Amino acid sequence: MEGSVTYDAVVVGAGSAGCIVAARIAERGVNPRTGDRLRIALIEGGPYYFKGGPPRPGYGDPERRRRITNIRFLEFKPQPWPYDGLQNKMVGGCGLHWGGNAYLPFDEDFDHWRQVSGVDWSPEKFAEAKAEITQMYHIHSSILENMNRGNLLFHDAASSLGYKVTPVPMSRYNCINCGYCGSGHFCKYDAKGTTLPYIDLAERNGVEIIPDAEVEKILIEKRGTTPVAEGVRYVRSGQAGELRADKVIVTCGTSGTPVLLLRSGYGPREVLGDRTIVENPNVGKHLDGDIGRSVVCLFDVDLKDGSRGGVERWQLSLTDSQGRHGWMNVQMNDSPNCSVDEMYPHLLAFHPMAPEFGWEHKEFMRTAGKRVGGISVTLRAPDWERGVVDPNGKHLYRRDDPAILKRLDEGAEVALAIIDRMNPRPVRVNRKFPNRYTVSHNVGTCRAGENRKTSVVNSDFECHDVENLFLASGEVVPSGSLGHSHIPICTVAAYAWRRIVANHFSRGTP
Amino acid sequence: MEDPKGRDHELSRRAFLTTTGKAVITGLAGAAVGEAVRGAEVTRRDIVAALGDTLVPSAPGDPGYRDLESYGITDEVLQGLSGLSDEMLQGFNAAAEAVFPGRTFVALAGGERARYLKAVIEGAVFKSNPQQAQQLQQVYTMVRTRVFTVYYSNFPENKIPADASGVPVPTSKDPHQIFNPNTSRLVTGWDVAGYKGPVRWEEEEALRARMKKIHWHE
Ligand SMILES: Cc1cc2nc3c(=O)[nH]c(=O)nc-3n(C[C@H](O)[C@H](O)[C@H](O)COP(=O)(O)OP(=O)(O)OC[C@H]3O[C@@H](n4cnc5c(N)ncnc54)[C@H](O)[C@@H]3O)c2cc1C
Ligand code: SF4
Repeated sequence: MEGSVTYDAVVVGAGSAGCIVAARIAERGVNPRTGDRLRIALIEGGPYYFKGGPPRPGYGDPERRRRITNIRFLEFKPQPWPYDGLQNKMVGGCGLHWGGNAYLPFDEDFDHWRQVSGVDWSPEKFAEAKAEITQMYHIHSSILENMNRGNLLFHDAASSLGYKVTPVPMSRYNCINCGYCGSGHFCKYDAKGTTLPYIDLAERNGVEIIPDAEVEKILIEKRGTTPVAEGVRYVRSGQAGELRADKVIVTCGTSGTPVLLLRSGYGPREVLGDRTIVENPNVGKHLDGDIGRSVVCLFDVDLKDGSRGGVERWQLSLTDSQGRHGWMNVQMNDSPNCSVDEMYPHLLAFHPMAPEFGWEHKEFMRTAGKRVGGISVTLRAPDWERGVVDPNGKHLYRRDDPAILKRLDEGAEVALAIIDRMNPRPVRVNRKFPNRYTVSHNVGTCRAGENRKTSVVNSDFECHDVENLFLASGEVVPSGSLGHSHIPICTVAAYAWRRIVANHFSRGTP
Repeated sequence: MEDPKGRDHELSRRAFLTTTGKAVITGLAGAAVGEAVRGAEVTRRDIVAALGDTLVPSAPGDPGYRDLESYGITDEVLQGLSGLSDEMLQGFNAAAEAVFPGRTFVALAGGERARYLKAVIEGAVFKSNPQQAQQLQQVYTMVRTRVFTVYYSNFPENKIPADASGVPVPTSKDPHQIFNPNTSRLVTGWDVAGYKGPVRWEEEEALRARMKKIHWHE
């Protein structure tokens, strides 16, 4: 691969966005001069672990099934990147194990994106991208037949308080409702909406997938006074190598992309000092996402109706004072945090409701797996001083902003009112909350926007400052979506490949 | 300037505690002396085993941590505790003296051990020495985390056979790739928690058959 070959494009980071962009550009793009097929490389720091045939939703592929044992991604080797924010270091990225709560970007998200950075994106421009992701990720409403007792308790209590309760949109295809989902499980049955179909598409369209190669640097050289991206330098099995490409498309995620740009000398001068090659004040800034709180309860009934747990859920979404939809989203989970994690005894043992040790703890362990539940409240942060990703991937932001804590308290009040209305009511409710928070589903650290004063790339994903360099994963989404990050990021990636093909890889484009 | 006296004192204490990785129980007093015997050497293994037995107790007909000792549970726990020094563990053992004068943690009976752990968690007994209180809590938390993790991960039936690159290798009897089923051979943490283990093939087929009637595309 390395050395003599020059690729038409190298996509760096084979995660949720990278797989979409690489597969589709290879499939739909052509060399603008010759009309020939493109030569695309997809380079990834982690292994190509989930190889196998095309997805077989509901059954799984024998080779992949063998590798997907009952563990979460955090228990897997290799360990994720040492950055803040959850990362999955393998071909497929977080798009292999995310929770499957699938919110397409709302119209209000586009309004907010245009407002914060001047990006020209709109629901109309994104219509095709949305349709693609709806189809490829099999987005549909939660299946009512799979709702369990915990879900129904929530539904009835919230409805009786006058809230409009709706099923959460999910991304699954022939899901057998096995219970192993939630935060960080791979799906043995190829049923979760994942990057797999795009990896398959990439393979079929000749994308050269280069795993286990950590990109250390984007090669930026000056042509005259113009900085131009010419390829990447990477390390693979301890050996350094270079890969040259006409276009470099970075999709290393919300933490990984700014880290890579900063290592390449591209970013704010106050951070890089004399290592600055190209200055842009927005690299690593504007870290955004959503903020959550869980109200944890212990019931004396089986919330799961004897099953292992379920993935479907009801939710209620509240509007803010300006009528913006979804500033607060409230859901019942059959265990706190996310879905059915606590069904694993080794995690249940540390549940906030668990006694410290001894006979009491053992007694709790005997039945609590079916009885712990909780209501999670997710908020969009009010306009706040957004965070920063530093050159080591650390997320720096204030974790005790009073305005945000106030909103979290309001959210907890809604959850507690619903809990108090449940029949039967829980036997214990945790009413003490931390006075700190974490921002998750992160986006925005190299955002798209009108100009280099506000952003790093333009509305067509081209870097304002470096020719032939594109960014297209979580970092370009200008601010947190009203509903999580995965599907918004995938939708943006599905729009990105369209813009990149239209502008650079169609017959006759310059 | 250095305090040579303080340094010597520190060195000799550390040397005493760590050169062999063992300490000697001295001054056992009182009627209940658990399993430790006056004058016996207490290893880090003994201390962790005693903690494991207190965290997940056993009784006749209700097996717990102790019942997996013959399968090497404490060795497995210790493998994940390399960050915990002998000095800290021996300090934890010795500090039981503050609650049960003249006795160490391993020398206590079950109920007494639990009382000592509560004292460590609450910290009140050690409030005159906040550093010690913090260190004791640190030992407790590290061992608790490791013991619960190992015990409730189906030890000793938790191992997944894998090849050199870590890819699970199914046995010929396992065409459906269920790698560590919950067997009835032993009572493990999974049994205590009523956890069935990974989805078995028959269960998978039943789940599929159910969903085929509800929401399916072939
Ligand atoms: C446990 C979990 C549950 C989640 N559940 C949900 C959910 O239910 N709903 C939802 O909307 N969102 C969810 N998310 C969030 C969502 O999965 C992510 O926001 C999304 O996948 C991010 O996509 P991405 O393409 O930006 O980054 P990623 O998918 O993280 O891809 C980045 C890729 O780049 C690679 N990389 C990084 N740096 C380098 C480098 N220097 N060289 C080479 N390769 C590199 C990484 O290894 C990775 O493969 C969840 C996330 C986690 C972790
Ligand atoms: S619940 Fe999750 S892991 Fe289980 S089949 Fe459905 S998508 Fe797959």
